[in-house]
Amino acid sequence: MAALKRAGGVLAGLAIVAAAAACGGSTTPASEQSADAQPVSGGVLKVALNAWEPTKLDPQSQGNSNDPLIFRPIFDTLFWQTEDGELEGLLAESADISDDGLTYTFHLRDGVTFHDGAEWTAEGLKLNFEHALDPATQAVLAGSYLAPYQSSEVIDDLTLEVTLSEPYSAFLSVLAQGYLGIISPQQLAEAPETVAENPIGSGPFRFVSWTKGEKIVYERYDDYDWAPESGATHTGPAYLDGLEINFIAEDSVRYNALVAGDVDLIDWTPPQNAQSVRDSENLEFVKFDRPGHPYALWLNESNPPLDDVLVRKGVFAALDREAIVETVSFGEWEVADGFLVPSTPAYVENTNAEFAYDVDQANEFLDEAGWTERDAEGYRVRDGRRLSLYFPTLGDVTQANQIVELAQSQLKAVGVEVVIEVLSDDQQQQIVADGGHHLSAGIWTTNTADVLFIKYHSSEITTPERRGTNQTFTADAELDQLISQGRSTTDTEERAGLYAQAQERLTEIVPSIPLYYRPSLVSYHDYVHDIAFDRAYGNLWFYNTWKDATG
Amino acid sequence: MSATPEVTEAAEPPPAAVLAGTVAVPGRRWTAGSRRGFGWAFWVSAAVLGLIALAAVAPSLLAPHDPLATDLAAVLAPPSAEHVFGTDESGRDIASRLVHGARNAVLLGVGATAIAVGVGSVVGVIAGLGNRLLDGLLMRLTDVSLAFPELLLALLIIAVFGGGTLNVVLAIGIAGIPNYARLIRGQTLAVRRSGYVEAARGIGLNRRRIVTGHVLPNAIRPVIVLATIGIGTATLAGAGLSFLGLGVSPPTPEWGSMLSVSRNYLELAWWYGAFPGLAITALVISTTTMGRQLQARVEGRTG
Repeated sequence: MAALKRAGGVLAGLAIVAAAAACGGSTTPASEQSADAQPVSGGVLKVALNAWEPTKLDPQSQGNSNDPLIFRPIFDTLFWQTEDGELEGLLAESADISDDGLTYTFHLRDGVTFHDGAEWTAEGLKLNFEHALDPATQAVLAGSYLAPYQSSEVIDDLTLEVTLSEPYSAFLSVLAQGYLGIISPQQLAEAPETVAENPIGSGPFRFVSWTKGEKIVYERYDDYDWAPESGATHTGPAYLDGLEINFIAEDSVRYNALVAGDVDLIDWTPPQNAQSVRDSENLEFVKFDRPGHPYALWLNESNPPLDDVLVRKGVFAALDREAIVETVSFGEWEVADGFLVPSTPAYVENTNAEFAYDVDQANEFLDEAGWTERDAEGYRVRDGRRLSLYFPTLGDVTQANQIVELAQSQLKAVGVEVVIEVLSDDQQQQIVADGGHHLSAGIWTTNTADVLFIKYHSSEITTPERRGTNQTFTADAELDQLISQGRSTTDTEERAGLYAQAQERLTEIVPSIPLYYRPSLVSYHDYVHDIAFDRAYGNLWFYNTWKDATG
Repeated sequence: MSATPEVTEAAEPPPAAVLAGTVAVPGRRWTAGSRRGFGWAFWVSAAVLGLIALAAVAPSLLAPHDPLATDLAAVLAPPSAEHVFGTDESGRDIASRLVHGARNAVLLGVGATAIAVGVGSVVGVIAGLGNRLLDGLLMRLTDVSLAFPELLLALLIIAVFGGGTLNVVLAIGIAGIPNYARLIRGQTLAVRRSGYVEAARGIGLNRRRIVTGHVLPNAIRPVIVLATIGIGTATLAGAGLSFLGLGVSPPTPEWGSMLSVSRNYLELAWWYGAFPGLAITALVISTTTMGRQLQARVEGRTG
């Protein structure tokens, strides 16, 4: 033991000498560097994300949480969302909306050149809209975000007039999200199928290579000169020579890759490791909100006993969400207090107040629903049937499973059984699509309150013809009307009023149990500076970022 | 393969206990005892297995807490008097979860081995006694299955039939069949040509009597040894599949899945991974040690 200790001491000594040698001469140690140090160009930033890798590199075809981060470097969007939630021109300078909300006239930025040399014109924008809506693109997300698009007409080189089939208030906002990245018009005109493997855009970085299951490599686009004013710290090309985005599925492996210095930055910091990052001398930690719907337990209203609103309210009140979220996230996530994330437009505060954790209240709801008898195991029974909820899940979603395990234990206290079953991806998806489950869990990130339409409108219930996004099978006429009107109203204040009513209505029908906001949890070495985010989705944005000489 | 010697009843010495009891010379007796008896490792293994068996049969006797009871005030608490092995990420008592997980581990090990030995024996005996064509057919099938590593075969079966405890038992059991089939066939061939079978045939016993009374009991002997070791490997394979998330559904305590989840908290809670890991290791080493010792006795030499 003594020998080991001595060896450790020698090693530590060597490390200090090595560090001193590395720092020797010109540069000051990173820890002493002031915040206003001058940015320098150069270096490749190595990033690690979780396993959610795109299936194709066509941004418009994808729909995973990592995609806006992955595609933003290559593709610009029409608009950029500013700190106060306004839209600033990026590839579009502005857009005029007709009084009936059906015609949008886009005025495009002049002088934008894509990575392949293509010019940016109104015709190019038209091609992009058509590509997103082309069935061959299989645009799960961009397609539904653009669903009201009908046609467009080129007015001149830099003006496009778009006609919608119905007024759609979220239109311009969704155009700021990374999924609606603008692809090179030349590529779309000549070989749209090549976007999947060789994406060409106008962003600050150009695509170099993609090793599936491993990483995507980017290099700086030197002609870049149209960064969004409100987000950028500088103009012209990006500081970094390049980017390397790695996919590391295992939480502990990703975290250790950062600690070991194999990568410079990670997103999806495992919450259990966040405190160690904060405590570390050479690592930094930052959180950034993602707008939209909080992470929630979706209650399947089509499957009894959850068709009874009293049962849904009982389940809601029986959960100590504070304690669950605190435990699962090691205090890193905030408990959701409503059906929208605070950074979403039209968010109303504290709509969940009446469902504060209250076991007595929960018992009252469930008694009132008629589940008054108890069986030998203490579960509620009505007409010979146990009050039991089924949660089909996957083996590798540790945190979702832990949440439901904790919920299971708390619901047992009010006599509600939860049955958790681990299934394969296909089996689980099939059951949830068919509505054979009671509980599922998930999140929807977007920058508009139209997320309420996506999650709760009856037209979004899956049918044999179309896979919908309404996982709660909610079909409430009053709610339907409010969120449809919210979608079609162009007046901001009127819209906010409608969405406030919709959030109120949600607390009456309780189709889901909002749990927490899921921010980006980013950890990085202190030689990385000016970490920035794209507010339209809450994803990392690397245009401002630079590495100092100690990296 | 160490289990292929042609053991015949004639060559088999009487068990040590009998021998020791009947030998009159004290010196001989001690020699015989140390040569034929079980070492300390056997008894330690037996004690470990006994404890695991007790946990499997009557977990509430050993478990200090409810294995499913969460305590959000004591999440990832280190070992203490209250929680001897500490708590997990939901504040559940790890010691209690290990005790309650024993049944699943034992069921998996014993169940899978039983399936493998049962089906393997039938296939092996049929091949060993059947005609050249049947034997060839069965053994080529066995060879093909043996070309796949056992765990891969088990994964394949789970991919087709889905996860869950029962399917994991079946998958590991089926994956183990070829090994036993091959061994039993070899034994059957050896026994079939032995003197006492010849003799039985000579005195006119019918075929069925010979198979059930002479061939099977004698061919199965080395299998008992292999099966004991097999229980350990089957448990390990089961823990491996659970580690991959293919076993039991949460929150049922299961050693492999405990180990799997614990790796996310390695930095914060060494005890979470260490104790399930030790439990699996203890079970596997104990069955292996026991198997080796039994093997030594069957083969008439000390392990």
